[in-house]
Amino acid sequence: MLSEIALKLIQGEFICQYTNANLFNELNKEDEVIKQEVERFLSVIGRTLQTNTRGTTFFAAHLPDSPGAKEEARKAFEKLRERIRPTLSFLQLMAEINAHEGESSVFIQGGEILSVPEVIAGIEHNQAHLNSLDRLIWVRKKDDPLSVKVRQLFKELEKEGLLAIKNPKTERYVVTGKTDVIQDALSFIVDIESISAPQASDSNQGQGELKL
Amino acid sequence: MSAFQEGHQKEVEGLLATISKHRDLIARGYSARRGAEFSPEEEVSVQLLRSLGLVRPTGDGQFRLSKQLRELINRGVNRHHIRDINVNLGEYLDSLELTINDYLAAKYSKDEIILENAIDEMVSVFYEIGDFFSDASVEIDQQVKLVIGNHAYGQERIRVIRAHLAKLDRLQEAHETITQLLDDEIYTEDPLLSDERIKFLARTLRYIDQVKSTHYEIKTVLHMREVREQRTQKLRLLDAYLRENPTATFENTSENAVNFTFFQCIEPTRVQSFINFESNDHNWIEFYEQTIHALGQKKPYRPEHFTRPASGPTNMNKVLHQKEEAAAMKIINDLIRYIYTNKTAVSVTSFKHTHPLSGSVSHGYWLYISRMHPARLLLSPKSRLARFFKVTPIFSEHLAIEGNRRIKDVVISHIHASRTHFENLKSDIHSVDEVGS
Repeated sequence: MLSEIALKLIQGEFICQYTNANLFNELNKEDEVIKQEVERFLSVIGRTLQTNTRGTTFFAAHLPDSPGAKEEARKAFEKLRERIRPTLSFLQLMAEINAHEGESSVFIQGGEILSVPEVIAGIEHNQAHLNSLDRLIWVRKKDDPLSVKVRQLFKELEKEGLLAIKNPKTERYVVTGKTDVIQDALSFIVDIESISAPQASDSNQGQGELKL
Repeated sequence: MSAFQEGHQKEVEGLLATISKHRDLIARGYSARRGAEFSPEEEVSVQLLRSLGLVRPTGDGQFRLSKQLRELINRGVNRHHIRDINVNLGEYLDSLELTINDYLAAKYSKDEIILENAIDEMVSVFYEIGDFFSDASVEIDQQVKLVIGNHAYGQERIRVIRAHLAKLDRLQEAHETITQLLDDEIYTEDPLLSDERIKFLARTLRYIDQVKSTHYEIKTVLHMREVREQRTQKLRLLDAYLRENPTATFENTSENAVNFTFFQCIEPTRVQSFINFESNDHNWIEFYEQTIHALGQKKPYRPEHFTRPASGPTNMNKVLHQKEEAAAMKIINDLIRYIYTNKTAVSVTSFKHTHPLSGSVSHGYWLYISRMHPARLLLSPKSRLARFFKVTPIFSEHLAIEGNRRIKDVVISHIHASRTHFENLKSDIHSVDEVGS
């Protein structure tokens, strides 16, 4: 068990509550025996065990003080930067499909189930959703039928580790803990860049100008 | 649909039609706290519902709903509204006052029959109050669990959960009102009342635990929802910001990336394998086992070279390559663990692939596992090797003392150099070997 966990971690895999419950539970045990063993093992190679805000997944990270960690972190960010817009567009699309009438929608999170037929049904009669789907980078052939595009989207996101197939027959996917981690990272960007909503005074000023 | 299924469906439809036809009677039975009255004309309906196990008679001209039907309706109609709790509390306070007065009056009258009746009435009131709190808390808990069971909390579900929280708070206030009333000296001085008071408090201990646990569950869900809403809000801001500034570079984030765990997340370690499955013999496995053994025997800082057995053509297909990579990872894993668990100091180890015909090094496979002082490592030729391969040595925080020196674990694993680097490297290795010999 220990070597299986260590191997996955040093290969950069996420040990998620929803897709790898056995290994996750071993790491999450109260006695923390396995967790400490893994920590000791990772410390030898300058890594440490980390979890996300919701505690839904474990992953290996560089020790912040280890040489090269800063450079690695910057590289990881550069890699994520290219994916920010598409990831947000996907989250928006899923939130809008899942939202019930008159409700403000929230983004999906780890553990939620997404059904391909339901997503297809949610998109097919809504031109705005169809346009959003076509703009996603994971959908390569825009002329494909809707069902093909949605299936391709889910397959691609599965490859990226954001979704995992739960039931191939019913085409039900589970949102992984890695999705939670990425949302945490995006949230970090908002904080560190001090991105905030436009000031109310600005909009008032705008309205005043319109009246004139 | 089979004939059996069709028949079954008709049966269910028939039952639901009967329930619907007598819905007024059922609703009346549900609303009545004890028995509900029915008129002689309704007797046939009551008998029919009784034969279906939905109601039971409780006396002359009265009936009650069966427990199962009541529970089913409870789930559906979200019973124990705050209004019910308030009404019940008022009734219980009145009942308590009345029965206690009757009991005290009977006690002074010294009429044993009246006293016995008064005590019976008083005990039953205490029981009724205890049952009410216990039932209400269990019921709310069940309803909360039904809602919480599904992890997708839409706004409607959150509204229902909040309503349950308000009910729970009101129930708790009602319980506190009753317990405060029971602190009155009349309940502590009279032995019988004191006994009933203690029994009541003991019976509601489970209720208090239940309420605490349900309360905690609700608060957790609401907190999670709040966090999720805030996060969604933040990410929408980011989306809007990127629409306005599509070329934003996020310099601050880039500078501070090291402060956030996700950005420290390690890249998968890509390892060029030094095991060849194509060779289809045990030389490779022996080689691996001998290497492990040799690592254990080595003295610190004595350079060792392991030569990879001849493997023939190195062109491999993708699947084979992946297999080799996985095996190599396992070996590296074992090596690291070996060094760690045996506290062995091992110097740099390089694995080279010697071409079977020319005898020269044609392809480099490198794995360095070393335990030495960082300063010494940086000055050593091994550090130069690391530079050639653009590998940053990783110094872990694990410290060990050997003699009067502090030792740090150093693990560098790499891989594949460009041809130019490799040519430079070969001359370096020769010079190191010459110095070593």
